[in-house]
Amino acid sequence: MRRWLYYFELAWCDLVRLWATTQHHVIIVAGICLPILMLLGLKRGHVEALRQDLITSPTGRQITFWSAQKGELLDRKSIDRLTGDLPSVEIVVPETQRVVTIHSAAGASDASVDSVTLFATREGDPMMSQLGIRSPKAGTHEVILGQAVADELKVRQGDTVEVVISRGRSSEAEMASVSCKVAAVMPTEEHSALIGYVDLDLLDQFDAFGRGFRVPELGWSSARVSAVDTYSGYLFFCEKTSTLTEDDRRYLGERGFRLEHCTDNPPEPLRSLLIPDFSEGLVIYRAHTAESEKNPSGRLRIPPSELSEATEADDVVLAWNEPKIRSAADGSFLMAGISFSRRAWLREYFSEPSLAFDYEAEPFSFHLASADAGPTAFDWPLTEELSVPLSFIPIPKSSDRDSIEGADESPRQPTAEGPATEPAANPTAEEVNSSATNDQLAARILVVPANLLAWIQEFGEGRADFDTDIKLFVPRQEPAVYDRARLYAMTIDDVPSVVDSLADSGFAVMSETGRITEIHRQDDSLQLLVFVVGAGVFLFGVVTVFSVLMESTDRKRGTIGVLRVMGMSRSGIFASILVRATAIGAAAALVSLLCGFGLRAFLGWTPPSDITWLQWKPIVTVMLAQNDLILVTAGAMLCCGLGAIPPAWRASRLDPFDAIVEGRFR
Amino acid sequence: MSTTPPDFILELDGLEQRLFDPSSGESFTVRVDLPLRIAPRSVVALLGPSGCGKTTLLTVLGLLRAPSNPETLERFIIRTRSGDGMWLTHDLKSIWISRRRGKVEALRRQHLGFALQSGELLPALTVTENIAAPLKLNGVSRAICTMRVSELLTSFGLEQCNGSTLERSLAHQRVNRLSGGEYQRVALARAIAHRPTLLFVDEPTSALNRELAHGALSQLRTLQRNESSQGAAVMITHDEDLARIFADVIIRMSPRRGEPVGEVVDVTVNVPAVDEPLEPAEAGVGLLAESASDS
Repeated sequence: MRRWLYYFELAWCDLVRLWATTQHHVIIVAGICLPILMLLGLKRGHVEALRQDLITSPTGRQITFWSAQKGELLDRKSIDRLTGDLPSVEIVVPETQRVVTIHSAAGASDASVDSVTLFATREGDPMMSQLGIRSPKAGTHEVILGQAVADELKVRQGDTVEVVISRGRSSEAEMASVSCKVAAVMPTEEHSALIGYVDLDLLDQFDAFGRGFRVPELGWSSARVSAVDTYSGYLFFCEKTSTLTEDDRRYLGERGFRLEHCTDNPPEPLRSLLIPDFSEGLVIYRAHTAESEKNPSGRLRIPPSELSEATEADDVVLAWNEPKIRSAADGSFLMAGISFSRRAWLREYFSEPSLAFDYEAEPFSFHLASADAGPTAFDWPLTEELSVPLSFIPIPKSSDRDSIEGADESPRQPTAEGPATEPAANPTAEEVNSSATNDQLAARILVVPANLLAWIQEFGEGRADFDTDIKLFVPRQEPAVYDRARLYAMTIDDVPSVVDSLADSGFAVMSETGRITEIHRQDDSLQLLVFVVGAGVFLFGVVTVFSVLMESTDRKRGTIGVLRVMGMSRSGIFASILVRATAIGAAAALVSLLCGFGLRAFLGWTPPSDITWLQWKPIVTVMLAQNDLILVTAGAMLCCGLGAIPPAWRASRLDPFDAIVEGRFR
Repeated sequence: MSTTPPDFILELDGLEQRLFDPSSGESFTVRVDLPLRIAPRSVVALLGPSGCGKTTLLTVLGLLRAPSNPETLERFIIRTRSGDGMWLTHDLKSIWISRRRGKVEALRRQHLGFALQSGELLPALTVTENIAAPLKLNGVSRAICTMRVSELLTSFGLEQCNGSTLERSLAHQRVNRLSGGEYQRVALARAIAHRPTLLFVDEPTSALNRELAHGALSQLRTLQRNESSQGAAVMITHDEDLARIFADVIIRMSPRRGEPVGEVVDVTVNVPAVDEPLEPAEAGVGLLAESASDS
C-alpha cells in the first residue's frame, strides 16, 4: 500500500514540479473542455431565459378554464373541490367582475370615477405577487386600484375610497356603497384602464346586491322584486251553459293538463265558501299536471287569465294552491289563497261575493270568511324566528257590493265596524307546515290573495326568502356562480398535467402549455445537440490526449527506465501514468471552470453606457449548472484517463535499460 | 538458509547473451566462459574497450534483461540477506526460465542497486527525494527513510548549504540545479540507499574530473566495505587506473577479432591502492582460485 501511495506521489510530483511540461497538456485538455462547458451553459441559459420569461409573466403558470362540455357554472364548492383534487394547484381565482363607481372619501378630493371594473382576487394571488402587491385578505374591505383610477381619484395606498354599486335601471337605480381602504395601486398596461381588484368574497357581495339580493354583511336590503308565485294547479269554473269544449280540453291536454271534474267535491274550503246550490249552475274542473302536485320544481306559473282567454268556454280560472292550516290557542285557521278578477261572474256563486281578492289586492292582507270576530292583525309563522305580518281587511257588506272596486285598491286597515278583535296568538312553524285536512272544517277560514299563499309555499320549498326590511317575499339568494376561473399551477412544469386533468374533467382550458411544451422541446433538442457535439469533442479529446501523452511518455522514457531499474513494477508504471493523466484532466477541468465562470461574467455583463466602444457587446445568459460542472470535470478526467491508457500500457512494457539508454539524451 | 555470510553472493557460469539490432540487422554475442564469482564486501571492476559487451553483461547480472537462452546457463545464483539476517539463495536460472517477472522485479527493487552512466536522477524530485526513492519503493517508513537519507547526505557531503545561507539546502534542491559532481554523488547515494546486496556502477565517473571521481569512488568503497555492509559492487570503467586503485577484482573483456563477439578474457585479483590489502577470503580468493583452476 505504501509503495502504491509512493507511485501516486511520484505522479503528482511529476505533474506539479514539471509544470512547464504538463501545462501544455492541461491547456490542450482545457481547450477541449471549455467549449463543451460553454455550450452547456449557453443552452441552459437560453432555456432558462425562456422559462424565466414565462415564470415572470403573470400568465406563465396561469390556466384559464371554463366548463364547456357540460355547460356547468362554477361555484365556490366546485372551485374548492378542484383545488383539492387537481395536482400541483396553488390557487384558483374565479374570473368575475363588477362595474362600480368609486368616490374619493370625504375630506379628500371630490373626485369620482364611474365605470370602474372591479375584478376578483384572493389572498396569495400570484398575479398580484408578481406585481409585488399583497392581495386583500378575505373579509377585509380593501381595494387594489389601477393606476389610472388612483390618479383620477388622487388617492394612494392607505387612503379610503367609497365603492358605489348600483342595481336596476337608470331611472329606478338603487345604490349601495361601502368604504374600502386602498391596499395598493397597481400599474396597468393601458394607462387609461379603469380597473381594480377586490377580494372574491367582497366582489360576490357586490354581485349579490347587483342581482337584487340582500347582503346582510354590508347591511344592504333586497331589491323590490317579489319572488315568483307558482301553483299546484288551476280551478276552472264554468257555467253549465258554457262549459269546456272539446277544443278546450284538447288545448289543455296538449299542455300536459289533466282535467278532473270536481263540481260535486270541490277542493276545501271552497264548498263552504260557495252558495249551497252552486252546482245547479256551476261546473268546476281541477286542472293539474302530473308533476305539478308532486314535484315543487314542476309547479305552474301560467297566469290564470291566459288560460281563461285561451279557452272558448266562459270560464273563470283560479290559480290554486292547497290551503295551509295552523292551530293555535285561540283556534285553528285555514289559509286559502283565492284571487280572481274583480268583475268576474263567479263572485255571484260565493256566499260573500267580495270574499275573494282581486289581482291588485295588497298581498299581505286577509279576509275572514265567517262573520265571527277575528284578529285585526295576524303574524303567519314561516320559521321559529320569522313570520309574515298580515293585515285584516273586512269584507264589504252585500249592500256595498257595487262599490267593491274601490275597496281593493289599497290594503285595508281594520275598521271599527269590522269584526276585528284582538290579534291572534302566533302559531308555530310546525303548526302551519301541514296542508289542510278534515280539521279545516272546524277551522276559521282565512282568505288571502293567491300570490301570498304561493309565496309562503315557495318559502317552504326554499325558493323564496322573506325580507323583513322591505316586507316582501324575494327570490332566495343563490350562491355566486362563475363562468370561468383562472388557476395557478405550482410551477410552469406542472401546467401540462393540470391542463390534462382539467380537460379530462370536461373543462375547456386556455394556458401557456404550448409555450411550455416548446421550451421543453427546445431544451431536449439543444440537449441532444450538446451531447452530439460534446461526444464528438470528447472523442477528439481522447485522441488528442492519447497522442499528447504518447509523446510525453516517449519523452519520459529515461525516467520510466530509471524507475523500472529501481524495481518499480509494470503495474506501478501504468498506474502512475494513469493517475498523472487523470490529474491533468482534473487540472484542465479546473482551468475550464475558471475560464467558464470568467466568460459567463463577461458575456452577462452589461457595459456602462458611457463606454461607447463596448456597446457592440451582446448580453448573453450563460448558466453553469452544478450538474454541468460535474459533467465537464468527470468528462475531462475520463477523457484523459482513457487517452492515457495506451501510453501507460506502452510505458509499462518498456525495457528498463533500453528506456534509459534511448531516453538519456531526450 | 544461514546467518553466516556466503563465500559468493553472485555466481554465473556459461552465459551466452545474444543481441540483435533490428534496424541494422546486426547481431552481437557476449560470452562468459569463465566462471564469475563475486564475494561479499568486494569491488569488482569490469574493464574493456567500448563495444565489447560490458554493459550487456551488467544488464544480465543486474537482472535488467533476461538471458537470451536461460536454459543453457550452467549456473546463475544470487544470494541475498533478508531482514532477519538470513542469507537466501535465489536460482536466477530457474526464475528466468519460469518467467517470474515479479520475482525479478522484487529482487531488483530490494537487493540490487544501480548507478548508471549519467546518474539518471528523477528530474521531478529533490536530492533527498531521489536518494529516498529506492527506500520508498520498498515501502520503508518515513522515519527510517529520513534517517538513512540524512546518513547518506552526510557521507557524500551533500548536506551543506549551497552558497548563500538564504538558498535552500542542497538536499532540498531539485536535481537540475546540481553540479556534475553533486549529481553523480547523489546517484551513488541513491544506488546504495536501500543497502543493496549487489551494486552496479556503469562508468560512474565519466562525467567527473579525476579528483571528483576519486572522491566519489572512495566514498562508495568506504561504504561498501563498512562493517555493516555485506554487499559487493560491480563497476564498469574504461579507466585502468581507477580499477587498480579501487577494485579488488578486475574482470577484463575483449571483442573477439573478426567476430561479433565480446567475451570475458581475464579475471584477476587486485590489491587496491586505496586501502590495505584485503584478506584472501574477502578479496575474491574463491573467484581467483576457481579462475586459476579453470586455467
